[in-house]
Amino acid sequence: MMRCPLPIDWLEHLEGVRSEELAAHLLECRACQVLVEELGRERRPQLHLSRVPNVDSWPHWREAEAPLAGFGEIWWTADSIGSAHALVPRVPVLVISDVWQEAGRSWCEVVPLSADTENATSLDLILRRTDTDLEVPWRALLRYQTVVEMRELDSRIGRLTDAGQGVVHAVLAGNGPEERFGSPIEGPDDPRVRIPEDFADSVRLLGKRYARLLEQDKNARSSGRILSFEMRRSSITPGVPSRTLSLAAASEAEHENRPWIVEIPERGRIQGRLEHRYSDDELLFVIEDVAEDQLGLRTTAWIAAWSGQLDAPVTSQSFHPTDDRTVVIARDLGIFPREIDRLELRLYDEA
Amino acid sequence: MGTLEDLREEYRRDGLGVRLRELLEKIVWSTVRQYPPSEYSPYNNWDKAACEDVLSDWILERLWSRADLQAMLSSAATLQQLRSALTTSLRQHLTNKRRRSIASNLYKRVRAMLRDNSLFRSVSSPLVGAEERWTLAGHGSSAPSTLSVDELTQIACGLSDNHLEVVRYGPFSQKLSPILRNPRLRDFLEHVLGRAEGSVTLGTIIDVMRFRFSLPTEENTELDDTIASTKQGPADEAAVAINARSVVSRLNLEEAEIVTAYFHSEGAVSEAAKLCECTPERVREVVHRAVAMICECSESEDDARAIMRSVESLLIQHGDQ
Repeated sequence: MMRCPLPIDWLEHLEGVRSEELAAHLLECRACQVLVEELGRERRPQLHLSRVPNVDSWPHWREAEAPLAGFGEIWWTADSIGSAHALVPRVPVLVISDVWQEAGRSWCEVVPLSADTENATSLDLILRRTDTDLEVPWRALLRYQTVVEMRELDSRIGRLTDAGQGVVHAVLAGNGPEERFGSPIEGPDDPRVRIPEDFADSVRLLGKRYARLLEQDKNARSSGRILSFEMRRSSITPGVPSRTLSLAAASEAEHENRPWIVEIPERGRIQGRLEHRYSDDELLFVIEDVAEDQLGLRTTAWIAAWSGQLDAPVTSQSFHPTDDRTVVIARDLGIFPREIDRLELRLYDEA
Repeated sequence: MGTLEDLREEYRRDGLGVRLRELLEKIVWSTVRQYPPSEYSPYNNWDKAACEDVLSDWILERLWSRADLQAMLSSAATLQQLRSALTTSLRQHLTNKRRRSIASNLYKRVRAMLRDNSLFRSVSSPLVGAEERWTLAGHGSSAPSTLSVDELTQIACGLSDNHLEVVRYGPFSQKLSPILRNPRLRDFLEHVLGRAEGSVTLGTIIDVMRFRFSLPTEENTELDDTIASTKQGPADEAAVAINARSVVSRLNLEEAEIVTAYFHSEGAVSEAAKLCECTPERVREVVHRAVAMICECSESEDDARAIMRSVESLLIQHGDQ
């Protein structure tokens, strides 16, 4: 079904820029008929502007070509992303990881940025003017954090300042200041639940390439994308196991006592812990608790782990959060739970 | 109007040149017709002066100050994408301006509560406006607090939304609804001033509320309460018709068909879904959006019903009631 034309399309239609497509649409769309009646009531006058910013004061962002992105940089996405053949609007994104190599290609994690700070939700980080060298406020849409291939990024336009880096690092560590987030989503009818209209098409395509990479061994589904969610370490350490259990654990596996937790908006929450199985040199994530919200967690997931001992993050086998209890993250790498700096849940999303 | 590249070149050369300006003028003149002037226009209508004000504010606050125009020119792959992005930006601007008037109302209530409630006392001249300092009546010292806005915001975050019974600005909030009702607003002010370790200015309290509740920045101008409202009465048929037309014109083809089916089926969602060959959830979603738009421009339940009847009339009988 054809989308309704914009109000300016109807205005120009009335002012003489006729189109058969618009005329046909007008015959069947009552909403557009009402708008056209409104527009036809009065001829458009020339509007007078009392205050216009000086010519030199308009911002001009410099687009820099760079081979690789780095943490804290702001990039335009390319106008051809995912598997789309049509050109989509470019989107500004904040890079929140360094680039890594996987399957012979370069990848990094990004969060889309929107200028519409007033509609920030409690899942959106608000960056103030002083947080970036572009000196405009942004809303970073953390719930659309994803992994993109380097060639899906077009050019660099700015970067976080030291202050901005501090805020983003704190947020990634799960310690973001509350006043830097918007108000909570009211419910499924809150219009802020939806992707902002101005870049919905582009954001839906981000993360599709990585989804295909992860799914390539299993008859790739083409419609989905990958969304990434930081896992944070709980500050609560469960009780020390009894001596008997401790001894058993020591012979079998090395435990990381503090659980890792990830909360996925509208889907639910997963809690678990890292273990290392000596006999097979396997780094494992053991799921202890899964709580589902309205959309549930019946989808495919992966866990990515970062360690100072590795050049690039390792990605686990795929698993289903509601069914599986043990996830192998790495094998034969000699990595222990205490050496893991960061974990991330990557979720297949049927966009 | 020129191609997208023409507009980019003009921006690089002139900032806001003749072509871009004409494009923005057309977008403002056409898009504001979808919004009820009683709620969104400073003059209660969409005449030339009102549109000029909207255009100036939009340019200064978003297109220039936030580099929105630069961003959209760089981001769009086609001229139609640019026109669409600019229209979305204007819609957000109109909606946010309306939210700011609601926030402004809260700020006025804070000032009134501090002045009228014996729990609080001023420790400076009341003539200093936003610089007027406040503390709890029971506190002996009137020395200024040394805590920063961030630290005071942390204190403010000590009371949860649930505890404060916060009413967020949502689709069914009545117009000018309080974000905090008076008893909880008093609790909030008492909580912050009681832990501020000194007196705090009204301006700082408002900054803290802005961060704590994610409120938009207060407008510099305030309505003078002594000026009589030019708004017509809720029973006024002309106002109802204008509001109803603004609601219908913001629906799209599919939504208009679903709302029409909803009226035809006398509010039976499953029946409407069958008529439109869509799911009941989709019917609920669209009707919810339409009702939200009706509530937004209603003064009362009776007013909302009158607008609803007029919407029905526009969609089914193809005329105003």
